[in-house]
Amino acid sequence: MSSACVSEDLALSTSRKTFKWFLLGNPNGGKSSVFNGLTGLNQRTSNFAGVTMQDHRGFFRHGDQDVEVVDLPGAYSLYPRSKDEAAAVDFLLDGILHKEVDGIVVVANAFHLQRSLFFFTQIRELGIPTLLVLNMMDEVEEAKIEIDVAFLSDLLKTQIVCTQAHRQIGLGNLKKEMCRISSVPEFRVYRSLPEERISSLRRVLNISSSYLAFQYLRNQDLLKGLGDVDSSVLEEVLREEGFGGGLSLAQHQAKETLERHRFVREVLDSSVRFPESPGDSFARSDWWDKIFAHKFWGLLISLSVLALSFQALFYVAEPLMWGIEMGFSYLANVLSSVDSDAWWLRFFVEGLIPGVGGIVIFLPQIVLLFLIVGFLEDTGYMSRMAFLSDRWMRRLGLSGRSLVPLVSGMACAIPAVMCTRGISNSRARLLTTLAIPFMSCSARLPVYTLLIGVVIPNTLLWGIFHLQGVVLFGMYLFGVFMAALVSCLLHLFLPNPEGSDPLLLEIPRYRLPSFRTLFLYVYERSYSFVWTAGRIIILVSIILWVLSSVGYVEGSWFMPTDLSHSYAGYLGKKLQVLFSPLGYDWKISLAILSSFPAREIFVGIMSILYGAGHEGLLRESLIVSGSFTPALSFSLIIFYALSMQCFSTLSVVRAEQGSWKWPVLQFVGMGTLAYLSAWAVYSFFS
Amino acid sequence: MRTEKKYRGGLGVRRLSDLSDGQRVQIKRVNSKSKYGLRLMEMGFIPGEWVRVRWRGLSLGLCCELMSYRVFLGEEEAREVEICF
Repeated sequence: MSSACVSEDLALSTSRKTFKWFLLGNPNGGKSSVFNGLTGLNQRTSNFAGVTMQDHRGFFRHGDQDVEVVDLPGAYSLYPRSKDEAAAVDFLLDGILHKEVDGIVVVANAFHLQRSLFFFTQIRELGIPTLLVLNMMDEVEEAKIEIDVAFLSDLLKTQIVCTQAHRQIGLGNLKKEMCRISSVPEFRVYRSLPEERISSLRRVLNISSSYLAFQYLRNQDLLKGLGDVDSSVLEEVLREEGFGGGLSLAQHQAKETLERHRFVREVLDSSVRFPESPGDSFARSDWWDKIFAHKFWGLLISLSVLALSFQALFYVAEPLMWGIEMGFSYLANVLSSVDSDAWWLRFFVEGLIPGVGGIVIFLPQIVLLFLIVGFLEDTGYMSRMAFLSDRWMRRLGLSGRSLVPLVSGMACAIPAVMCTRGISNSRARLLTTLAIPFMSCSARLPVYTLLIGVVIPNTLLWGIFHLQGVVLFGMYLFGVFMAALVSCLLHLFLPNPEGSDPLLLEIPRYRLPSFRTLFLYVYERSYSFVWTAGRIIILVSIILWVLSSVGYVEGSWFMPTDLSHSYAGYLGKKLQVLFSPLGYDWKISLAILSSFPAREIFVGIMSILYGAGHEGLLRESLIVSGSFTPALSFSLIIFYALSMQCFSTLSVVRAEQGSWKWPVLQFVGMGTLAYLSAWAVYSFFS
Repeated sequence: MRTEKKYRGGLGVRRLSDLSDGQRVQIKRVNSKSKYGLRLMEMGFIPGEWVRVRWRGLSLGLCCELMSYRVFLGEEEAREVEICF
């Protein structure tokens, strides 16, 4: 039997039935690693709970069977506490209701079996074919814990597969079992269900599991619009209030929780043997935590780590950026030396190379930035930072869980906004969402680097620190300050009916990041940066090049020798009316307008407008032009630090908040703040 | 007597939030009616279970060890867990 990963297209084109399996489990249990191993895809994994924020799909073929695998966000229980958990549970129950699920794989961290099996017993009781994966078996063996897998399998009435997903061990067996299993024997742990209340619901929905019926009883929204069920009968069944047995839902839940933990304890007592003198698997982590999670040193180290990271952005990336700059210069020179008036040649030299070069040159800095954020997450340090910051975060109306989205926002706001789903309090989630765009994302980096290079001398501070790096770090701190200020103000005015967000955060052990995981993270994010910005810059380059190459005066077209006589110049001058209080000329005004879809393309647009082949030449052109005074440059930096120039982020905010109200308010609010602040800075320095 | 103000069950009740680094205790009761009580129970904070405080944060939370894993707990959440020595 051979196994092969197949693409989505191939899987969908086949006429055979494709089996659909859901992947569920506690957060940070290695679910995404199992998903990647099964499908050959590169879903992000991390040493931090709650990395999977939405369902991901992949396919594999085993023998002649096609299987679709759906990776759902991690959850601790079928009673969700946060938006990502609710998404996973709703998706699962909805899938079962519509008969779209052929089976469920529960991925359990074998090292934390007691907690993992709690969730497993809930899933198993739903009556759907279920497989239990004991992942991270290498850690179990290392700790000399003996699991009698066969006996455990008998007690749980479930097929068990042992894996080490990060090493691709055991996944072949898992595929085989997924294709083999079609039914499972009945399994009951919670025996206090209100049978009389749910038996009629079971009949109406045509399901055999009482526990599944109970889940629908408490989640009745899922039952709306069921085509094959008589709605009047369903309404009759649901009319009765309460959950039966004279107990409320919370009482049922508490009782169920105790019964399940008792069952799991009994099962583990008879199937797992711990060593007589158990080693402390956290010993090394504890030693590190004495330093990194210290009340005082922990915060100091956090700040130092961030400060050094931004120094590295300049020190390490500079030679690489210089290399890219030379490459684009060489290309532009070669094309310029061709003795031809072909329009496409002019487009390449004057439009495409400056535009694309203006973005690509920042790739080393972007890669480094993603590398730093990825490293902090994968080592497990980010969880400690969340814990250390919780106290301050709560004062701002946020939660410790807000820290990871906010720090991720320094790389890119889009995944950061999606990451807020892990925050259970809806107001804290909203405040975090509104604060994230103030964090200086990677798209602002090219703008900062260019403008700082124009006004700040390239010298060392106290003989050690790169002065431009210090100013760049200052801009990141400014972003943090503004995010805190905005949260604090909104915290004062927005009501909070749910109370504060609880801090219940599983802490992972410190781990050396896997090179493959880190590489994939950096590669995918950097690729996405270049691809997203690249598509826009090519489109904008074409439009701008055409507009700057053509003019129209007194009924005739002409090719202007002076850019200000072109259409681009005409448009820019019209825009200048709006931006002249900030001191911006028509070229800057045009570049600002063009960069509203994505702020990073500002540099590319400026390169085209100033006829500079790459960022270095552009910087020189701006310095030589003399128009970029400190007042104008600082004003422009502040404008870009505060304005909301990213349509993709606005779309994600809309998706997460469920309406356009907040993204529109965010766009208008940040735009107004940016304009007024830039005007104040320009007036002050002038 | 700053900590006494936080007690809800009277002076005789000891809570997880009262413990200092390294102390190991047994859970007596979890307030399941509170907002976080049920989640705490689902994560393993159930009567009879042993829990050890590994280290405390900036006086507003602690890192606990139970069921061979570690969890960060805010001060507010830790107050929902009654303990006995």
